[in-house]
Amino acid sequence: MKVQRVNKWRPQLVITLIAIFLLAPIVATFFYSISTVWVKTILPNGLTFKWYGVLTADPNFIPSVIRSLLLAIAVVIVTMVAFLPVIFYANVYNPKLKEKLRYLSILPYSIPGIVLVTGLVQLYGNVAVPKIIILILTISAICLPAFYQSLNNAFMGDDFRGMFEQAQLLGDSKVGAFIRVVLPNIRAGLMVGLLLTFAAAFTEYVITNIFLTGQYQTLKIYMYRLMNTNGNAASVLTIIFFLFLGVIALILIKLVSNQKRAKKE
Amino acid sequence: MVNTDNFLSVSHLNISFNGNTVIKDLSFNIKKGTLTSFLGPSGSGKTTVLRAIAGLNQAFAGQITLDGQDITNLAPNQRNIGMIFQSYALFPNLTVFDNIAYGLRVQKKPKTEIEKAVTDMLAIIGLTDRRDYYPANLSGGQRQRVAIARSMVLEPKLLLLDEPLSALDAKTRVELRNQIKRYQQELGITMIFVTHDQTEAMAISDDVLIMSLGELEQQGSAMEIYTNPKTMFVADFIGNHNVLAATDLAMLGLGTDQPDGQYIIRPELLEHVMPANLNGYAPIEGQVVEMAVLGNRIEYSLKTATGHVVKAECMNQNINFTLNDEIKVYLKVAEIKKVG
Repeated sequence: MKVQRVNKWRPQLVITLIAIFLLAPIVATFFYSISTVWVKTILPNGLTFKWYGVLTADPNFIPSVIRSLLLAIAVVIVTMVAFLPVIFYANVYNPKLKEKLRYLSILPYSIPGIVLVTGLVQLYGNVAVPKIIILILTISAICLPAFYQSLNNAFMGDDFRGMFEQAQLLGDSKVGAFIRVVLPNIRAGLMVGLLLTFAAAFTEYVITNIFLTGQYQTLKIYMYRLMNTNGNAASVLTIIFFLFLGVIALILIKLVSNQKRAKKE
Repeated sequence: MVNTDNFLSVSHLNISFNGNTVIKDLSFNIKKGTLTSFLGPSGSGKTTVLRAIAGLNQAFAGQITLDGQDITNLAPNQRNIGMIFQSYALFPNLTVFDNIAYGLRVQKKPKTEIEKAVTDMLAIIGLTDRRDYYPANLSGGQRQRVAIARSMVLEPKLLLLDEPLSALDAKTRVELRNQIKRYQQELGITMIFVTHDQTEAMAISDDVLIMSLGELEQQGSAMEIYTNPKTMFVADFIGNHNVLAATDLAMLGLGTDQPDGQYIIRPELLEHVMPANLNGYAPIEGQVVEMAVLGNRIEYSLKTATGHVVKAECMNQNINFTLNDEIKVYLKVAEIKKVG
């Protein structure tokens, strides 16, 4: 039989071009972050790590990191406490609710961020609840699609209703059954969902900036402000951001591939 | 004192989902130490009743008592009832040993006691060498046995099995159903076994409870239900009976003085060898219009001169007929049973 030769270089060329297209700005940003001066020349005048020192010495830097972290952790907690039980209930007991959740989870994609914020300001702007709480709830809702999808996949395949009920028939309480039987079996999907939520909340910009009119300076807001005053330091921050998200992406890839292997076994 | 005749007693059970009545005023008793089958077609409400007994479906009217205790409003984890799901619902993250030990650990039993109870149970189900396997690495029949062991190790008062054999191949089914019967007899556990397979129900049950559309059609021993169906539904569902009206019997020359109603003639009672003494027998003549070889038996459909089609089931022996043969079979008239 004649084996058809596949042109290997063509797909590889396309992938290489895309990779160059995506990596070029990051590489350029990196070099900008370690350049002394890089204006009106093809190559930077000199190299230095000075800007890394400048950035970390800025009194606004660490508080911004902490604010972003706190915001992201709060969003993750809300997601765990409020959405996880609902998604479990919809998947296990009430498939009709799942249809509605699916619809709800598309909404954040279909409504532009700026429209959402305008609505939020008008609706909740004068409510006697700290705005930060409304912000946390809003970001949690906006992060729902990623969390919902990761968990939905985790609930597929096994008979979770049967397992949950079986654990109770074996004498366990509802909470005990959920912790001992449901959670361990959705662990990978749950981790993926929580990491995606964390990353999205950590890097959120539009809503935080407009809704709190910039008073709550997160890392992303700090970064945009820095761009106007010190381009080099801003590129240092961009690189740090990139590394941080890169680590999260690597963990996600690892989790998903472990999950696939486990399913095959 | 608790009467062992109504060890489990369900009275006036009514269940509806979204306004549809699924179970209508169902009442029955189950004897201690017996294996009872719930038999009925899909949608007859068997599983719904089982879930109500287990406490997994608490939206119902009626009363359920177990061993003299009213359990109607108890949570599932307080009833001491075990249940085997159709999917087995083994915990995929736990080994065979840990699956079986789950209930004992929840009860916070001492480690040595758990070790002994689970090891004993593994020996009973013959999976001692699989104790560290995960459910994903077991065959269907092995999973089934683990699921049974996981419930039985807690020595429940009542064990419910919801179509536990439906996902297995024919040979494993027969093996496992005999094993279930053996466990039940050796350990003296009261069991309820849900199935839609008549043969399975009759093979293992002390008592069969036939349901249709949420109502109890008949409860009795396998023999009783097979030979004396109380309703047309049972007559139709339980076997391959010929069901004839009194007028049909008269036309076939099987008696003219029968009161109105429906009658059953079991196909295996029609003999194709002429009995030595024809006293009490009536012949039926007809042409073979259909035949099915069932292995050890052959089923013939005979078309009589009156236009009736009568099924006869004969042992697969030397004298066999072929299509279009005109044959004569004999029936003991006393064996014709009125339905009801």
